[in-house]
Amino acid sequence: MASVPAISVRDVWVEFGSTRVLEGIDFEVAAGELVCIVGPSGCGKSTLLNVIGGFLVPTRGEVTVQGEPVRGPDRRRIFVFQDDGVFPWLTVEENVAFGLSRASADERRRTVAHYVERVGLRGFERAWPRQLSGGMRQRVEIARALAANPDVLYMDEPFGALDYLTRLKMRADLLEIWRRERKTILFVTHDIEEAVQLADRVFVMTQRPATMRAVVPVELARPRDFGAAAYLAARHAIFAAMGVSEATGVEPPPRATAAPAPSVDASVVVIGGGPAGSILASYLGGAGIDHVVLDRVVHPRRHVGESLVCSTTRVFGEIGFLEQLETSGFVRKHGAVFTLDGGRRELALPFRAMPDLGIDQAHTYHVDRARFDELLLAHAATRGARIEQGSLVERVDLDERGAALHVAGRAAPLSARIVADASGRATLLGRQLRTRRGDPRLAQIAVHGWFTGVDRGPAETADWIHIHVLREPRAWAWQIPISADVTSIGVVCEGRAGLARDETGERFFARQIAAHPLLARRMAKALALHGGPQVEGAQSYFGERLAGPGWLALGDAAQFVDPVFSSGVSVAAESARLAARALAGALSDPAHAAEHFADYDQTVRRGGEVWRELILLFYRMPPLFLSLLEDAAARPALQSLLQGRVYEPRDLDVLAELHARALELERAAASS
Amino acid sequence: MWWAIVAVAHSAIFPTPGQVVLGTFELAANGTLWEHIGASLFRVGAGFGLAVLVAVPLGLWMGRVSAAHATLNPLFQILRPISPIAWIPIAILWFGVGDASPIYLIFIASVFPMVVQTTSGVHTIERRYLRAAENFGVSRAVLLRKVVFPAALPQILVGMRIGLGVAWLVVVAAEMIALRSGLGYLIIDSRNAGNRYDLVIAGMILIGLIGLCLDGAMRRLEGLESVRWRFGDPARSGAGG
Repeated sequence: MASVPAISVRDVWVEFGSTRVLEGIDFEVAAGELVCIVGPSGCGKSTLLNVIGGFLVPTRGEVTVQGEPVRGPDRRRIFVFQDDGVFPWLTVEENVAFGLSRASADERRRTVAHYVERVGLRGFERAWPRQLSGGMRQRVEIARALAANPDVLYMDEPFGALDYLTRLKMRADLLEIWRRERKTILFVTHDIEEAVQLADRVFVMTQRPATMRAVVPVELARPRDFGAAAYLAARHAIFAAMGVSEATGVEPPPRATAAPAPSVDASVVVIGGGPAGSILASYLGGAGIDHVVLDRVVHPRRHVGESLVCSTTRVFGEIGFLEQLETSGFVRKHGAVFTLDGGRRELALPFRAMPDLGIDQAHTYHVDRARFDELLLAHAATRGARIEQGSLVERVDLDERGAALHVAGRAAPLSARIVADASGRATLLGRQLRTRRGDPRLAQIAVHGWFTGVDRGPAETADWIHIHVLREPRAWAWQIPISADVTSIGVVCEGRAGLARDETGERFFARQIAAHPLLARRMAKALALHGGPQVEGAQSYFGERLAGPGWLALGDAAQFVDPVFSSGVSVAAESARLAARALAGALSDPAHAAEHFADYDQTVRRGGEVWRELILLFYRMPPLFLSLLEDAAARPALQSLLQGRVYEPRDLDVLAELHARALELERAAASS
Repeated sequence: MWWAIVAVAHSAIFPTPGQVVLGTFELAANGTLWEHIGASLFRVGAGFGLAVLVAVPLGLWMGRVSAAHATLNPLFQILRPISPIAWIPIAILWFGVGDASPIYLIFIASVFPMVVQTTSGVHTIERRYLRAAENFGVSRAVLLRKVVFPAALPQILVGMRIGLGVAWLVVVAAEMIALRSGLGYLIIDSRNAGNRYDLVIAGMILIGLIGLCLDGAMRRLEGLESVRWRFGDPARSGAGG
């Protein structure tokens, strides 16, 4: 790399009136380096970038680029803004050619073609910006910047307005472009994940004082694995430098309070003895962390059949439950069958082992939830969990020293350093803290029951889960084997639109089955058990915050996603696993508790986001989704997600790909 | 209904629809109808065209240069509310009773709304576009041609639509006072020369129809690709996803 720094910022101060926005900023960026500046919103990072870009004159200090002091904007240093700066009155190619007015016509044509190709917009040269998606417009802007052949690119949250998947795709594309063009890039973001994905070095800024707190080098080859140790270390270093957890926006308690821990009834109180609570308790018991599980107990639970995804095997292995699962007579689940067009088309997806997660078995299980939940709770007890049954928690008081739980029928509140909310769909803390948000895109209901005498189809896939796509949008039916002769059948549809006026669940169910040729055949000799099918809400929701000082939420208490990919128990299992890690970290190192919680919050929310995206993409165009599963190139990544690797995904490009293809098809349909 | 009212009232002067149609045919047959329409359109075209040539550059300049805006805007704000009809005596004084007078009146009437709209079009260009342009260090000419003008174009078109509407309104009034041709002249002349109210009504209807056509033509301009970003895209949103 060149010895003269590409960018040098020396003692820059910016004051607006009496407000000090930047305080003595000093740094250097080498030529060809990709540097990210992160910090909470309003910390002045955009102001800093505007100073460096020459749009703002600093109150004090100097910025030099390649040895020359900055006096104003310059075409050798192009700014890519957060808001959409593509000119809507020019076509894509005219936009890209904007900075090339001095070039010859021939040269201009070649340059434009080159960069349009580079950002993946070939075929859209004559399109108008209004015909493009937000992500595509952002690509136009990047192509326009690159075409001017600048030495330096300044990017101010360029992907901030894009949805999650497009953001991921754009990051990968930016890295690819940077790898080939070797521009110096200064990239401002508030997203720590984004910074660690992209940067050679991350500059961390803080508010009050508005200064540069730390420089975190990320010495990792790209593409970067979300789960790699060095990756996590970099993330922790950034969180630590910010001293504020980005996710919760809450300052961590002053370090002094960590000294004498007040005596409490238990270090951790787990509310709820469902799968999430039981699995967490098993982990805590195994780690020797003293805790108590408060279980309401509503045994026997309703007759719910649920099917697991493969990634949960790792969790069950870690808590020593796998053998019991294997020997308790649950039906093994070797794959999934999807059908379309009333059963005329089908796709069989046999599961694979997931060696990257240490899972060598290629099957998971269908479970009767009542029995499954009981076994898990009993297992937690054998691992040293203290379980108090019949305890209804009415309210939780949280302060910086811990939690006090008001339990029905108990005179004094129960004290704990941390409360883990595994209260299931009751979402105790989510409601108390008002962080629970319904997802209007996935307001489903399910009508389901157990049956005998169901024909499960050809023998080789008879024990798999069957997902039958129904005619109405976002409607489908499941077929899950519970035992040798009992099968759970459920119909899921859009809440409001699905049931006709005054229609009972039972009648709706019968109508849907009768209208579907394949289901009608399979259910011809079926007998309903336990009083017939019942209606249950299945609206997706998520917590805006899943952790804060002294609390975290897991399982259904954290988020619930539409059941089409059998994600329910996996959300419980994976979040319990991550919660155990966060709790162990927070208790052993109270000074950094906020970072552990913030990390937990981000990881679990991101996982839920991936599930929801996956489900929405499936609903948007089931045939397209299935065709991608048949595509040898796309299948491994998509299957890995469907088998539950959403919390530490390796390759989300497949989702962006699906998104792009769906968009293309929709555009074609709209214009025809 | 019109026919019924005339019949019931036994009006000797007010014509029935049938008479109006017959009168129109009569004018079309002897060729004077086309002469009148042509004369009116010519005056509007000339006056309005001149106004566009003056208003758009002036508006762009006032939009970009704040000193120009500060100086000229008060003057225009004073001149704008004066009805074009009030200018008639001065127009006759300056330009006589030939074609120049109505062209001048049309110019005066339509230039102000277009200047105002163009200026506000430039003022409301979003900062992000100007910053993006500034970034690439383009020359003033390129900035004007590729950013300022196209960004203000939708507003300029709105101004032109208003201006053309006013121009059409004024041409008729101007022709009623002087001159020997045009639709306004047709109306006044028909009344003066023998109470031909059928031709008066015919002239009124023609004025209305031609005004509608002119407005329709201006609206079509708003469908041009380079301004659709501002006026929305009815074809696409109608098709839906």
